[in-house]
Amino acid sequence: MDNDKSWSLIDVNDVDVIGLAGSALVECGTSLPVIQRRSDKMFCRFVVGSAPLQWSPANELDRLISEGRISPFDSPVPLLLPAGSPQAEQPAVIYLNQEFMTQADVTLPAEIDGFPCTWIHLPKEAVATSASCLPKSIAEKLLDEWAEKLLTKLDEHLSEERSPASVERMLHLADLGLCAATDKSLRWRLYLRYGSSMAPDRVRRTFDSFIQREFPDCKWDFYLSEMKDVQKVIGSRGPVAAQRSPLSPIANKLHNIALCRDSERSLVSAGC
Amino acid sequence: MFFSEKRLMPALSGLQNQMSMNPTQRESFDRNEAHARKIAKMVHLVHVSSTNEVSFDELLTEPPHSIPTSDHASYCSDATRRAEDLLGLARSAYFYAGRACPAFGDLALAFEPSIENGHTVSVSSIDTGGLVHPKRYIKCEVAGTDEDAARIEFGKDCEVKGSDWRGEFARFLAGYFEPLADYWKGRPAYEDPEKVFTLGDDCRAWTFEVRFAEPQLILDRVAWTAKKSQLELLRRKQAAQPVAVPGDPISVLDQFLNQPPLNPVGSDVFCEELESWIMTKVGV
Repeated sequence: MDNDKSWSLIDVNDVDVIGLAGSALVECGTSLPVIQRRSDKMFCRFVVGSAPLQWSPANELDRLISEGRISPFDSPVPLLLPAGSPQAEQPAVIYLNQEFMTQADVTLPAEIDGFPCTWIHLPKEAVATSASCLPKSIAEKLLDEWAEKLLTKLDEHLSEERSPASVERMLHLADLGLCAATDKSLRWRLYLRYGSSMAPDRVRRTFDSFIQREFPDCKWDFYLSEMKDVQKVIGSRGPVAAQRSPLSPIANKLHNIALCRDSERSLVSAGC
Repeated sequence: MFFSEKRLMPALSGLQNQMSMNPTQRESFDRNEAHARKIAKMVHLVHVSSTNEVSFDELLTEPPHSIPTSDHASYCSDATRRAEDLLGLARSAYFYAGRACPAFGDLALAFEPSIENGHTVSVSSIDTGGLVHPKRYIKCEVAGTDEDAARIEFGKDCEVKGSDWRGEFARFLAGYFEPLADYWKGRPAYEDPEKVFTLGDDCRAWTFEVRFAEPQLILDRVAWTAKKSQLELLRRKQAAQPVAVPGDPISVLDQFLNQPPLNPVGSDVFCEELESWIMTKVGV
């Protein structure tokens, strides 16, 4: 299998993850890991695939960091493999900053699905940012969990009476949710709330440049009607949904399941 | 003789002789030459953007909306300007023939060959900055007691003379890559006299560097790809733009976004995606 080739070309016991390719441009996301051999300090972007890895000499690392092409960790971490799983999976560096952690109300897990998460600081970032190298599927699962939390918070705000401050906060939460979300259904639900939170004159432009490209079968009118429906449903719950009671996590979960089903039905009917 | 060897770059000046000694190389050259010509004629020029002190959206939205030349103090490093001075090259905007080099960054742009029209273009068969950098990023065996001086001479020789760089690129592809897709997916199949192709793993040792003496308009791109986070950032920037009223010019950001990225949700392997798109377009 081609994907096995990249793994067979490295000795995981001789390799550390030293940073991520490119920059942490937004509050959270993933990027390819930059790995370095302990033996000769050569480094490369670790891309699992059929092409050979492009190793660069250690003395070039500082230049690439100074050009913003690599974001370094404050110390190297081992490249871990998921126990019992095939080696073919692409690893990804997941990162999130303090702003995201505060808004999404998340903490850094020590492990996910039995896979240990070693969190490391990205020292070049203006806002405190943590990162961990995980199998891509696990990194995306974590991002989607965080996006789901933001979605729940958003719905609490959508049920409240609107003020300029609350609209601004909803837009920020939806924006952060989209930065995190990778699952298609979750992204659709966030886009519905993102549109609801934006100044009305700006929605069409975002729809044309981003939403329709992700959901090519979704027409403008359908998006508008879905947005309206979601607002109506959430609004009809009134302030009850916004008030946190001891049962609210369960209520929120049920609420999300219902909305998710609504949304999936919408996606199916839109042919998305 | 199938081409003049007098004014050719090092990898091509010895090619005829190499092929006379290596029938396999001659055979693959003959078999691939016509296809290599087609590829070379169409191959796109690629630029990978990094975020140093100037982010991509700033480059895009601020005049002159261009990929700058190395005159730009923060977009290009002092090392780049030093290499230009050593090799007698003008301050330049840097592109690579068909390859996303270096692949570290956040967004990649591809341009049609026609962007060369009306511009001053110079080309080398190697990443010049990597060759003459004091830390000698690209490995090679060059003759002379003073290796730095020998590298500079070699770097000067690697500049493609004349205006038909795509013709020489075709001969370079046919002469050294078997199959031709290995220019993207592998490495040269045959050794060159200076062992640039065999001593290291870095594709910049065999990727054609194309330099423009003028900044290049970003909107001239024919394809682009980016990481998901870069797309989220562009979405955010677009949403923050003032609301347009009838008669307003379309903003540069909107013009840029009018062309969809190759992957609408972005990808960590955006460089590989752009290279695959180029390979398909040029018929590899």
